[in-house]
Amino acid sequence: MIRWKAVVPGLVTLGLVVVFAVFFLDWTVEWAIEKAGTTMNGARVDLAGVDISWRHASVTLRGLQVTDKAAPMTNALEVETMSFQLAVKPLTWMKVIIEDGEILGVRTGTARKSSGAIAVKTAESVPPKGDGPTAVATAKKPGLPTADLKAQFDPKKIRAEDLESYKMAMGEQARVTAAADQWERTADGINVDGKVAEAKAFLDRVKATSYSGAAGAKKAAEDAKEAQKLQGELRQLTATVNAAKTSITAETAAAKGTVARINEQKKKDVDAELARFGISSLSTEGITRAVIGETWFGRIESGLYWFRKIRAMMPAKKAPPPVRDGRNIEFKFHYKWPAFWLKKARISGVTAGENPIEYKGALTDVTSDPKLVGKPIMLVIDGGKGSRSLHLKAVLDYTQDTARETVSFRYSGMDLAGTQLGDLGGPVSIKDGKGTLKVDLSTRGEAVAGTVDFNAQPVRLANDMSPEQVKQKMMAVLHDTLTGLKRLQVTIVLGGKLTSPSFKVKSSMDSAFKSAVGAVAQRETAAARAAAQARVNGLVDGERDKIASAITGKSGKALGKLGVKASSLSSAQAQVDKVIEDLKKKGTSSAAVGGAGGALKGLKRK
Amino acid sequence: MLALKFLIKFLGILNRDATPKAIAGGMALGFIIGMTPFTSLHNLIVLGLLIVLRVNFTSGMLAWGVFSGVGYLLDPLSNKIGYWLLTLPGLKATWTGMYNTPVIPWTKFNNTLTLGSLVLSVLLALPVYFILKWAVVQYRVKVMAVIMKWKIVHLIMGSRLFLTYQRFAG
Repeated sequence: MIRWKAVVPGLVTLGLVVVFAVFFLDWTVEWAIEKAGTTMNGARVDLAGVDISWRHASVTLRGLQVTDKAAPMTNALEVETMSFQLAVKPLTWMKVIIEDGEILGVRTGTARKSSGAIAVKTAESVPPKGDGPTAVATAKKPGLPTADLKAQFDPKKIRAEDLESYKMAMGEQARVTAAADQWERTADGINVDGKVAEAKAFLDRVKATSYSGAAGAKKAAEDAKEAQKLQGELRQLTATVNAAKTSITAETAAAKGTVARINEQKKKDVDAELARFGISSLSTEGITRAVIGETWFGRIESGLYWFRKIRAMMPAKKAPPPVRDGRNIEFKFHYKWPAFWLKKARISGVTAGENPIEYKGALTDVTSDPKLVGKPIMLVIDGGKGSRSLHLKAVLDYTQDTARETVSFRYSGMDLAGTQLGDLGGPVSIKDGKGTLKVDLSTRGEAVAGTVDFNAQPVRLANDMSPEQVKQKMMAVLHDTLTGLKRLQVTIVLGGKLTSPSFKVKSSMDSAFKSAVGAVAQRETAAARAAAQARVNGLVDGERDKIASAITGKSGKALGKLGVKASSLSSAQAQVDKVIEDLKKKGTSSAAVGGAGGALKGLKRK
Repeated sequence: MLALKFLIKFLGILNRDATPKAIAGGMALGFIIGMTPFTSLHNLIVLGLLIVLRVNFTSGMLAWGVFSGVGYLLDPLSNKIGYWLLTLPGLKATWTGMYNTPVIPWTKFNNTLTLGSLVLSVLLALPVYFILKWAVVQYRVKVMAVIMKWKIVHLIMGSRLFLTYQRFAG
């Protein structure tokens, strides 16, 4: 029954599996972490090594480097060692419970020896906008015009095929012209003349008929019946004419609406074209945004992106799994263990920069099932050195159906020298100064709210400009205002949704810019807008007017024809009504047809 | 080439190299592996039995491949059986006990598909064994002689690969 000679090879195979687990599992785990991390981050995640100790049930990850996707030669995060002590008993139930952990040597913004960029995905596989941590950070948004507006903005560069209003006019032209042609055909297609002629012939015959005696009364009753039938047909035709009139009137109104929409779109096109040349940002808020730089807004959005990413990992009410995967039926379990639970890990690290601050803190209750654990994920960090201090508290609460996150961050005494900001004709940076950063952010479901306060005093800003730019009046004024600032206070108010946050910027620079460059900017913007408007009008109005003339011309003609038809039908109906009345009298009284003849005389004249 | 080699080997086994019992036994075990999700822990035991027991290993591998497809088609039925068993009030205490016993959860017994397909395949394994044993006997008595006259079989058996295989197989 048992093949004894196969037992030995079987045992050898089993032994090989054990040897692999002991000697190569470290490498396999390292490879798996690097691969999964890289996929998730969108840039390389490297590990120097993994040590798994079977005897102590511990895992140690060494030299973790997470590349900053926007700057592949920089690590967004670097950790020297991460040690985790696993509880043995839960492992026998497939549960990974980390009782204690240490995350040491955390640093941000460190230099990499080699690029951490990964192969660019094809256009088809690029995630939609806002679906990557640095999607906004890397997206090129129009900055301030770096040269003289007159030289930079040439209205002739606005092309008809780029304008939505032009495309709309061209698309609607064919549709409206076809509809207008149909109106005339509809009006012509209703045959009123035939029925009116039939009515006239009938009335003539009645006039010529003598309704006397019993035979006359019978004849009058028969003709009255025929008149009523004719009257019904005339009424039906009148209803058709009226319906066509109503329909054409409604369609004309709709077509006129199209013209109005084209006019609205023209305004949007002018705005879009001005924005394309960076002219729309010539407001004080636009200037402030340019000074701060889109990268900083991108960093806030990156933070929100990670909230979304973490939320996606949490168990949710999902659709039933595919049949091939089956369904897990859960039973009452005498331990309160989720599949994964990092109960507590101590954290220590240093901030980026030349004069770093050391900080310490703890990360608690990171779990695959927060509802079971009943506690939010919490990260608390505190640090300080001399007059400088750092505090971070992040609470990610997924214990309820509605996810909530709150982040409170304070960094005072920040050394700002060398901090790169945005671009105002040339790069803006902080020459020297000290500052405080306060971030209060909260989310509830999809809604985001919060403020980012940045206060630097004393501060000196630098704005590098080329000699050509210095010659331009407005750029020179902006440069002087910026470099003359002694204090910089910026408040970014966050709102909107996690997937599409909105930013409102208030700054101490606002008033300075308003008084210094407001008049210049307004004048130049107005001139550019007028030029753009004239160009858009020239490109679109001709096509739009074709639609308008088709509507007015064809609808007028069709409605005129229908009006004549309605009037002729109405007149015939009135005469038939009179005849019906006369014939009814004849039928009952057997009187001479003089009365009817009187009415018919009038008909004859018509 | 590999498939042809495998086919030649299986034809040899089917024709004379192994007993009907060994072929049917191997195929019945391969049937269980094929019908259930491969990554289940119980398949390690079944694979061990396939190696250790005096059954034909090649037949087992072939059955695994063939019945993986059949198992895929039977997934909806397996799922229903698994769900019915796991939600049966009379068995609740048993499942809860197993769920709370160390190591047992590694078998993923609480998965509807794993349990359903395992129960279904184990129940069918015995009939499959007897049907296949009878079929092999019938094949050798009635069909083999006819098949051996087919041109395609002659072509295969005359091929260099087959001759080389025969030489090495002894």
